[in-house]
Amino acid sequence: MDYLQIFKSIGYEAAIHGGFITIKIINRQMKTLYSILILTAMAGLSGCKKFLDEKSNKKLVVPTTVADLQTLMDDRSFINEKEPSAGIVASDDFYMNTADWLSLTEVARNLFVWEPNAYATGAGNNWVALYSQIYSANVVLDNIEDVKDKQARFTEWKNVKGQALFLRARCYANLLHTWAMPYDATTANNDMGVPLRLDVNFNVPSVRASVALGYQQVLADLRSAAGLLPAQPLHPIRPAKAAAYALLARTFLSMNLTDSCLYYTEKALALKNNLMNYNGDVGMNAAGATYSFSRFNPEVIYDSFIPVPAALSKGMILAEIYNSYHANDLRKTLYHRSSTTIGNFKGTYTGGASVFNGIATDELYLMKAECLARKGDKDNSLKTLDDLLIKRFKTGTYIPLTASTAEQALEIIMQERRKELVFRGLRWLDVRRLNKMGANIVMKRTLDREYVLQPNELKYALPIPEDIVTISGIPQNPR
Amino acid sequence: MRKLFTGITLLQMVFAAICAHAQSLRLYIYDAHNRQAIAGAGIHISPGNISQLSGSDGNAVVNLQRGNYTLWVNSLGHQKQQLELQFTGDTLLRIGLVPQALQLDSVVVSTGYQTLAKERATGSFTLVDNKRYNEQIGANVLERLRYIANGVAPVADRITNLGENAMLIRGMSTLSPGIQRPLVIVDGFEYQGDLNNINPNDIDNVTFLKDAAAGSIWGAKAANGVIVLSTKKGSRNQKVNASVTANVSTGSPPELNYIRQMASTDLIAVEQLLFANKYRFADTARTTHPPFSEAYELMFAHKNGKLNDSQLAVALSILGQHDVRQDFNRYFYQNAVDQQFALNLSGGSNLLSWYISAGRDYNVSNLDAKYSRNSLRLSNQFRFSNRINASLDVAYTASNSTSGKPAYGTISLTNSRLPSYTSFADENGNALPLYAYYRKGYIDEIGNGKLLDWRYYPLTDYSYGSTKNEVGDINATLGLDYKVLDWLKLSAKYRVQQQLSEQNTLNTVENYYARNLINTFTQVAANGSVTYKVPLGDILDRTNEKLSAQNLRAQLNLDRCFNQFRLVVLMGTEWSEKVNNGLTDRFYGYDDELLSIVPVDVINQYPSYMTGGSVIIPSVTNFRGTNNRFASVYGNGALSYRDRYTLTASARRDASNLFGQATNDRWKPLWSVGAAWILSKEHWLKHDKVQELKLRLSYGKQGNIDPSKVAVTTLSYGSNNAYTLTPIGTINNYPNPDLRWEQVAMLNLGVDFSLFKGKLSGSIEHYRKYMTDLYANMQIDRTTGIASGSVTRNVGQAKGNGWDIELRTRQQMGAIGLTSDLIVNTYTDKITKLNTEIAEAKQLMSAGFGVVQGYSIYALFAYKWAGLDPTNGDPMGYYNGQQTKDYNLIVNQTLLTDAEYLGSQLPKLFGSLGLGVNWHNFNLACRFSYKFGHYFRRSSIDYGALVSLLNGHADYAERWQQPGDETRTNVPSFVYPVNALRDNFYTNSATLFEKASYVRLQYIKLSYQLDSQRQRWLPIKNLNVVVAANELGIIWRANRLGLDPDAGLMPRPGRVSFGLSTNF
Repeated sequence: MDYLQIFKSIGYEAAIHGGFITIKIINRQMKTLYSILILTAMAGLSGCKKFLDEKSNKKLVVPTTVADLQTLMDDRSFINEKEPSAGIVASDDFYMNTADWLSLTEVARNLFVWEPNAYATGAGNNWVALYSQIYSANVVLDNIEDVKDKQARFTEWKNVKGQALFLRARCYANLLHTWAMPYDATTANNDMGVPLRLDVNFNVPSVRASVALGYQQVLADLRSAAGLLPAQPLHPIRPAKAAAYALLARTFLSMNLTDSCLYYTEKALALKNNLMNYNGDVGMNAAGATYSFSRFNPEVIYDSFIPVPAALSKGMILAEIYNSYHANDLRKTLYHRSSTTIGNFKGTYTGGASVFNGIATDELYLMKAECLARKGDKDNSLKTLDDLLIKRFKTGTYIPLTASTAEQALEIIMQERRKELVFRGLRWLDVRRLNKMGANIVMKRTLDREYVLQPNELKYALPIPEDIVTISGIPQNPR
Repeated sequence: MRKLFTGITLLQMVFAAICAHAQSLRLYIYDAHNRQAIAGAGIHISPGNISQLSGSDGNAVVNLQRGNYTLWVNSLGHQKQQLELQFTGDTLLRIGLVPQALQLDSVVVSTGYQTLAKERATGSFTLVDNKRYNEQIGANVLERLRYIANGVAPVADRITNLGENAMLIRGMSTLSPGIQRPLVIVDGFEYQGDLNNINPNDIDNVTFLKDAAAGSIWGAKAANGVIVLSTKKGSRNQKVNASVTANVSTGSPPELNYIRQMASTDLIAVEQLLFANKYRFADTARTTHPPFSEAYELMFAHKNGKLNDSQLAVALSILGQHDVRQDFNRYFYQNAVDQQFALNLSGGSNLLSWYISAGRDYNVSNLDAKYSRNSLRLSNQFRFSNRINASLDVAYTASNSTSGKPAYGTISLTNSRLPSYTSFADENGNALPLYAYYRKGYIDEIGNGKLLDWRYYPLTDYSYGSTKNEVGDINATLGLDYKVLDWLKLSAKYRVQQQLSEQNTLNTVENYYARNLINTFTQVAANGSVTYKVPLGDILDRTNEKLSAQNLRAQLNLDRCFNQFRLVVLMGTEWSEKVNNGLTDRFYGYDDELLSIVPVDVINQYPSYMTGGSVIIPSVTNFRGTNNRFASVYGNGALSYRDRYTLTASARRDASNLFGQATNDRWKPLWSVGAAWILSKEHWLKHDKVQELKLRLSYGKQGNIDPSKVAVTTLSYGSNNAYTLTPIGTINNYPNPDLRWEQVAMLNLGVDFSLFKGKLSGSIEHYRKYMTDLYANMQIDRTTGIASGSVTRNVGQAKGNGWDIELRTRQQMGAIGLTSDLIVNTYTDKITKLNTEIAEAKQLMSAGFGVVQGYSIYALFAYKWAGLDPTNGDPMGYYNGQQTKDYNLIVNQTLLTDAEYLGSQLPKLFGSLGLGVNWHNFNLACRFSYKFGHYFRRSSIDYGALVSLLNGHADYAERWQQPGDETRTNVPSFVYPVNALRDNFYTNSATLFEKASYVRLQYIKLSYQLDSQRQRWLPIKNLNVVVAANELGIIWRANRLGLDPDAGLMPRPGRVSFGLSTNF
């Protein structure tokens, strides 16, 4: 030890005992020896390192294990309960009267009539919520290969990675459905999609990727997720294989790719196909309850919801939808309070006011029926629909459907889709894809004046929040 | 103790020939300054208890046996002298007493690591002595220091992001308000607990360390300045001294009328307009039954035919006559009364000196919140031998606080503010329900008698619940000094502190919070039987926190003179640890009598009684644990030559266990150098008008760290996911491997002087500081996934400079003594470099303060104002130099370069003037404070908030209503539907910015002292009677609207105090 030499050279005798240095000071003038014990920092370089390696906050970890990463995916209020509301506000499941519309904030008014400046700036909007979920997914994906217990907990490892890929895909799908024009194979390579952020490096500037690249990313992530996720989830709040297949099917449907949609719908149904019998079944609340269904009911494959947007809480169901339910159709009273009641949709699968937009088996039945009809398989398509509807009608009153052609069957299926999946946040996707196929659906708002959204209009890509455009410099969607 | 000895300047002992028979001690007492004999000086010798006065020639003779004695000499207007005497025979002792006026010479400042004579210091210190410290009576140490220290700016209550009672020492040293806090040292160690635990009567004096030479010994935490609190100690060989202090202060309730609340009649008129527009009609049908205001309910009753036109008009006019502030004044606010008692005893023998104090505070706030604090402090110094000294300090504080009544602004409806016409009680004083959460009518009838009353009664609700906080704090320091050689001392100090606190929030079953939760989880079966999922009983939330801190310091002190040099060096190492642990838990069905609780199911969902939706019974259980460790090595040296020239240097390195510091700057070196030259000791400057003249120069670096910022991604574990029962993690930190500690370099130039025999003294200092590697929360594209929209980066550099000037005068005019103390501080800062550019003005408007290159750290910007449109009262602004009403363009596109820069929110010139008058036994002290050269934004009407929250403003009455009004007002017209961008533009437009300069009378204190030396009939040593008044209000302000630029919601209420203190 060098400093022992130093002590000696200046007239002291020093020795190390344990962690301490004993120094004898030889003071010749006073002819006395002093023994002193001093704590030394010099001897403690290794002790010092140990001292400083203590964690500064027990609740904080640098993610190094599978379990650490799983915690991010289990933050349900952040992952499952912040789905974008733009699609439901911008579509036509409901209407509002002028007084109520005027009482909304300016940005909420604008979104309802597809005007620019439709989002409050800052942290609260859908765009930010989705990209921050993507960040969480990317934290998992960036760290997953380096966790120390990858081999030891390989099942959990696959599950977490699958969840992160599923989450990222779901977010990008939501982003594309809201802020990009509908998928069109002929123009997708040039259409502006959304920025694709695939790692956590926030120093990389945001650039809008093409719609084609966006959908490729969604499909690739979902396919990987499907390979990694378990067949059965611990709880529907987490995705499993069926959820990944169902989301693949929903994505292919939005791209108008019928075969692929049907392929994945069937794969999902093979894993889960329960339906509730609306005449009284597990998952339904007592008659007269404010909300008809409980959360995580047997039809739910993956649970996620949209917090009630202000516009929706003032909305009323469109009469044409309400009146289209048959008198024996239980959905009429289980879903709706009355044709004119303002209030939260009571048929949601969240058990509360929030709008369910997760994945449920009824959607799979409808996708399967639609794809079969589009492929010309009239009988099987109607048969699939019958399987669903018989559980929606009063016992013994349901009459199986008939159609003369596959086209007619498709028409029936599309009507039933609208009735079954009302207030699921799916209508916006449907209008976009159906108009691409020439359905010519015109959306109108009659307020202080009439606002119209023509089929395939540029306004189908909703305006990006102004502050995002300003700060990132990405191009705004043209109106 | 060392202070006393170093304080003694001249001592001469002349040994006479030993005479076997006549053993007398002859004394000559003189004024050390003018060398004149002092008559009537008191001489006391122990043992023997001999007392004598010096004669008119300054001489005195005392007969003594041989032996060891302690001798004290007192004279009015001089410092008391004490000395040890080895009496071997006839001796002449000449004792020079130092006049008190020249005390400056012997001022000792403390850095926490050492005390040093201010004379030899090269750094910038502000000492607040005991007298000035006691000019204000208050329960809190820091509150007493706000306006009295040179170089220290009290922050306006309006600026909330710097914390409560915040002080800035030489301005901002960071761009992150969250870490702009001075380091507080108590008796040598960083104080880790709540400063309210310190009994202010135990504090002897306070030193502010303002520059690098003074503060860099504190290293990485010192950039914001250091406040060193020194507690009272006993002295050796001192007779027992006891002192008792009792103070009572009373504070008036806050001035609610200062709040620019909208008139009730105006609010009702607005609501009538909204009603006519069917505003919120949809809410009548909502299943959540949102509440409406009282006026709106009357209008609905009228619409439904339950009231006719005239009944409605009468009801609304009755409503319009009421102002809720009257109810707050009548039912909630009262005078605050603070009582403070302190007793301290001190004494010392040759081997031991001790100090014991006990304090008791009992405060009742103007909202009837109660606070009591009992404190006990023991301080002992032992002298084992000439070489070994030890000290043991133990302080214990126990405090209790109980919440009081609700303050103005804390009661609101779920969907709006409290309407100004609300009444809390009927004419008989009975509590009225406030329909704050659910609609009137619905909530009156819900449950068919099966539920608890679901209404909320603000008048009485607070009395059914309370939050009680108990804090116990023990702090012990053990010190050991070992003098190895006459010039070398080893010292070790160990400090341990533990603070335990327990907070209990009890919501009894009568309390709305509990009733609401119980009702929500009540299930009424078809047969009428009632099940309570949340038990019918009280709800107790308990939080326990434990803080344990330890410090260990080992230090080597060298003090050696050779030839004409004197070298003072200290070197040491310090290890510290601060551990926090906490637990919050909730107990349902709590019974305070039986201490029983009822378990509840916090996992499964139950239908909410009101909505039928699935809800989980809230659980608040939460554990916390942090451990911050630091290891440091430091050194400090001073070399003086002939007591005139001094050079100092210091260096320190710190390391911490904060995450990720391993990769960047775990060991951060910080240093300083300084020089001082005492000109007044030069022969060529010897002049009887110049008692002291000293020049100082220092330069050095201090650091600043934000413990929450680290270089790796960290997750924070939270509670469990209720469904998967697995832990939830959230991202706590976005990684930034390049993050470095902030550094502040400061150059300080100072002159200290004392002229005309102390009639004029003071100091003039100029400093320049250069801040580098400043953290700032820089805006970032939220598309990156960072939802907060900002990340902390070392983005900037800034510089600041200012003058700290303090001038003190003393004058004696017959029996009247006048003193004055003028503090003049200037401060300006500028961000010189910022790596991220802010282009749009709006980014600064919302933040409240802006970080912009080329401007002050607390810069204020505004949209340019072009007046009101004469045709409809719309506010008009500019875009690209063109007058426009396109608010989207103004708000979203205005570039910073087009916005109007007003100035800083922090004053450029500030300080105070203290005046003192002495006349016989009376002493009058008062202090004025002032701030100049800064700006603030006043509040005004925001129509968006008015419509959606019923949040009005008195400016509504001033609004534009018809053409021509634009010449008398700048308040825009009211239009419905509201336009948020129009509001945003007006709120941030230049028309709402005001100059913030003011002069204020801070306090007056009148005291009357009876002293046994003058009043010989007094059985005790002295008695001091004090009457004081604080926060006396503004005497001049720059704004013409009568606004207090420092006020938050309201100005601080005035206080009057009475105090008695006595020594015996």
